[in-house]
Amino acid sequence: MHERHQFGKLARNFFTRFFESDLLAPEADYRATLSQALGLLATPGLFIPLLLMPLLMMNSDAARSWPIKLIFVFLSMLVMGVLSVLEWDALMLDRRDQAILMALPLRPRTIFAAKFWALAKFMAIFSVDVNAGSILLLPPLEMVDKRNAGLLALIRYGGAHAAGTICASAFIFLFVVAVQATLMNLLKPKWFRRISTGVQTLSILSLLAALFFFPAVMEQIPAWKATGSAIFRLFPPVWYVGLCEALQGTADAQFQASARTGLYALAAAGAWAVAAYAMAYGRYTRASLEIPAKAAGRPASVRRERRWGAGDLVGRLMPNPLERATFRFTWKTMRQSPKHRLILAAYVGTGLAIVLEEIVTLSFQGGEAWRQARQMALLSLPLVVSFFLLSGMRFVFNIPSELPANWVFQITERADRGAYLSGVRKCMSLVVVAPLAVVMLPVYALLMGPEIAIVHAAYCSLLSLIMIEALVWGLEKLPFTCSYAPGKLPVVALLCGYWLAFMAYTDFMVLIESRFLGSRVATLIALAMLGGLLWALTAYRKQPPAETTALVFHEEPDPVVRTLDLMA
Amino acid sequence: MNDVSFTVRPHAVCGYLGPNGSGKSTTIKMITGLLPPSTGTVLYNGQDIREDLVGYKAMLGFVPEEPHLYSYLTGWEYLRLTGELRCLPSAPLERKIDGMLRLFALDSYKHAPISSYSKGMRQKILIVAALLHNPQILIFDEPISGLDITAALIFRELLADLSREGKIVLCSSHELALVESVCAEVVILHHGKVVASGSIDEVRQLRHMPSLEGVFSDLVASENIENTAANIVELMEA
Repeated sequence: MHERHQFGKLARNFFTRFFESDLLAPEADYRATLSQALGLLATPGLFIPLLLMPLLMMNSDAARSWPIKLIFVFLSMLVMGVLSVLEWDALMLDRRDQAILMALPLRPRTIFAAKFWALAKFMAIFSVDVNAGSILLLPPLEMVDKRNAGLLALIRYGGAHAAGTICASAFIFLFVVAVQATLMNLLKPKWFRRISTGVQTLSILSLLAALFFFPAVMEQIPAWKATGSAIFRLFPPVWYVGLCEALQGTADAQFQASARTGLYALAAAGAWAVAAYAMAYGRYTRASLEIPAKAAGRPASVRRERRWGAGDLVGRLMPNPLERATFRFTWKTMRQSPKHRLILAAYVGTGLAIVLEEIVTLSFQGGEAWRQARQMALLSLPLVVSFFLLSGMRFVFNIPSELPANWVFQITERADRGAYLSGVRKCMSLVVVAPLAVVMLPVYALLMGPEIAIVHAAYCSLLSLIMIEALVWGLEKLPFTCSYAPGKLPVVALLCGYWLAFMAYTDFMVLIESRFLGSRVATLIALAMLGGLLWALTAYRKQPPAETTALVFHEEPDPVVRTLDLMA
Repeated sequence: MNDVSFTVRPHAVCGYLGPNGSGKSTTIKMITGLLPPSTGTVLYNGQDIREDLVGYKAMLGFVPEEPHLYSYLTGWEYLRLTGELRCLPSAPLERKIDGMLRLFALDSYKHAPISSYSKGMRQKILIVAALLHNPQILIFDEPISGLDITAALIFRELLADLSREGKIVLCSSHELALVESVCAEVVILHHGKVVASGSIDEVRQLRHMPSLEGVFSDLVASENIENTAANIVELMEA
C-alpha cells in the first residue's frame, strides 16, 4: 500500500517533468503547458480532414482510399517523432531526479516502474491526441455513401483508423526510446551526453526531410505498390495503413502482409525499448550522480581555435571588445546550447529538405523548359539555404538561454548598443555568408563557369548581408538574454509572411538575376545597386540617434492567462 | 526598504547583515544599479549613480547571491566573455584569466563546461569575474557560500588585502565569523530598516554584547533561539 502510494506520487511527478522543457513553455504551470501542447499537436489532425472535407464529401471512394489514410498515418508518425526527439532528455531520470530521489526511502523498482508508467501515459495521451481529429472526422466521411451501414460499421471504420494511426505513433515513440536506451548501453555516459544533441539534431533533420519528400513519395507510391517494390514494403507508414485496411476487411494481400509487418515491428520496438531501457536504467542512473571527470587538456574547440588562429582573426575583424564578446556569446550559444542548436537544426533541415527536394525533382525531368527551370532552381539554392539559416538564427535569438545569467550583461552594460549588435551582425555574416560564398565559388565554377560563379557568389552574399540588416533592424536586445512569449503573432499571418519573404528572397531575386546574367554591364549595375542599398542601410543605421540607446532586458515571462486587470 | 542609509568607505570593509527576507539582496541590487530605487539615491563620491550608471558600473565588481552562469560555456570562456564586456584588451585579459584560475585552483577545470562545476567552483568563477577589471568598488553577496575551507580562508585574506588597497568593499554574509574577522564596519538590516550600524566595536558596546553573534541575536532574532530549536526537535519526534 505504502509502495503503491509512492508509485502514484512519483508517476505524477515524472509525468509533469515532461512539460518542464524550455522549448514548450518555461515557468508555466504544467497543466497549462499540457493543454497548450495537446491543443497544438491536435491541430494538424483536425485541420487536414477539414481541408479535405469538400473533396471527400463528394467522393467517398477517395476518403476510403489508402493514400488518404497514408497522409494521416505519416502525419501521426511525424508529429510523434518530433515530440519524442524534443523530449529526449526527459525519457530517462536526470541528475536532479536522482539527487532528490536517492536520498528518500524508495525502492529502485518503484522509481523505475513509476518512470516507465509516466512514459507509457505520455505516449498514450499524445498518440490519441495527435490522431483525435482524424479518428473523429475521417470515418464519417468514409461512410457518406453508406448511410444504411449503421453505427457498428462506423465504429468499425473509426476503430480501424484509430488502431492504424495510434499504433504508428506508438511505434515511432518506442523506436526513439529504444534507440536512446541502446546508445546508453553502448556508450559511456560522457559520450552519450556528447552525442545526444547530435542524434537529436540528425533526427529532426531526417523528420523534416521526410516531410518535404512526402508529396513526391505520395506521387510514386501507387506505382511502387503496383510493381511490388521493396520500398513499398519497407516504408513504415505503409505498415500501419495496411493495419487499418486489414481491420476494415481488405482482401488485398499486400496490405495484409503490411499489417502483419506493422504489428511485428510494433512488438519488436516495444520489446527492444523495454529491454534496452531496463538495462540502461541502472547503469545510467548511477553514472548521472557522478560529477563528470575534469577535462583532460584543452577541449577540441579550443585546440581548433588555436590551430586555425580563429582567435586572432576574430580580434582583427572585431577590434572592439564588446563586438567580440557578443560575437562569441552568440556563436557559442548557438553551437553549445542543445536547445538552440536543435531549433536552428529544424530551420536548416527545412532549407536543406527544400533544396534536396528541388534537386531530386528536377533531376528526373527532361527538355528545354526543364533545363531552364533547373538552372533557375540551381541559382536559387544558396539563397534558400541562406534564407533558412538567417531567419532561423533570428528566431533562436528570441529564445532565452539561462535567463537569470543575463545579469552579467546588465552589470557590464555600456550606453551604446551599436557595438553589441554589430557583433551579432558579424556573427551572422561569418557563420552564414562567408562559408556559403566559399562553398559556392568552386561548385558554381564547375557547374556554370567561373564568371557566373563569381557574380552569383557576390549577388547572393550582398542579398544575404541586406537580409541580415533587415533582420537585425530595430533589435533592442541582445540575443538569448530576454524572456520569450510565443504566440504574439497569429500563426497564419506569420506563415504567410514567411512564405512571401521566402518567395521574394529566392524565386523573385533569382528571376532578376537570370535577366542580367547575360550582360556584363547589367550585372555590374545590378551588383552596384545592391552594394549601394547595403551601404545606405548601414549608413542610416549608424546615424545618431539610432542605436545609441541602452539595451533592453525583458526578464518576466508573459502570463499564461491574460486578465483585464479590473482589480487594479 | 524603509529609509535605509549607510556609507561604505575605502580601507574599511563593510559587513552587511540581516536575516532572510530583511532586504539585503534588494539593497544590493539597488547599489549595483540593477534595480532603481523607488525613492532615494545611491551616491558614489557624492554623485547619484543613476546620472552616470555606465561609468559607475565600469568601476564595480559584483558577486551575486545566486551563481547564475552560462552553464554551457567553459569557465575560461565565461571569464573571457566577462572581460570583453568590460572592454579589457585581449592578451592581458587572457593572461589574467589563466593566472586567476591557477590561484583559485581551477586551472585543471578551465576548459570543462560550467554545468559540470560544483557550487564552490561556480562561486570561484564569480569571484574571479568580479576581480578581472580591478574595480574600485566591490560588492559581495554571500561570497563564501559553497567555498571549501582553503578557498574561504583565502577569500578572507583577499578581503583584507583589497581593503588595504583602498577599495570600497561591501560584503553581505550570514557568516558572522567572516564579518567579525574582516569587516571594520557593519550594517544590520531587519524588516527593511537599518537597526544598527557603525564599527563592530561600537555596535558591540552599544548593545553591551561581547560578540557580533550576540548583537545580531539581540537585534534580529524575534524568538528565543534555544526554545525554537527545542520545539523543532519536539515536533520532529511527534
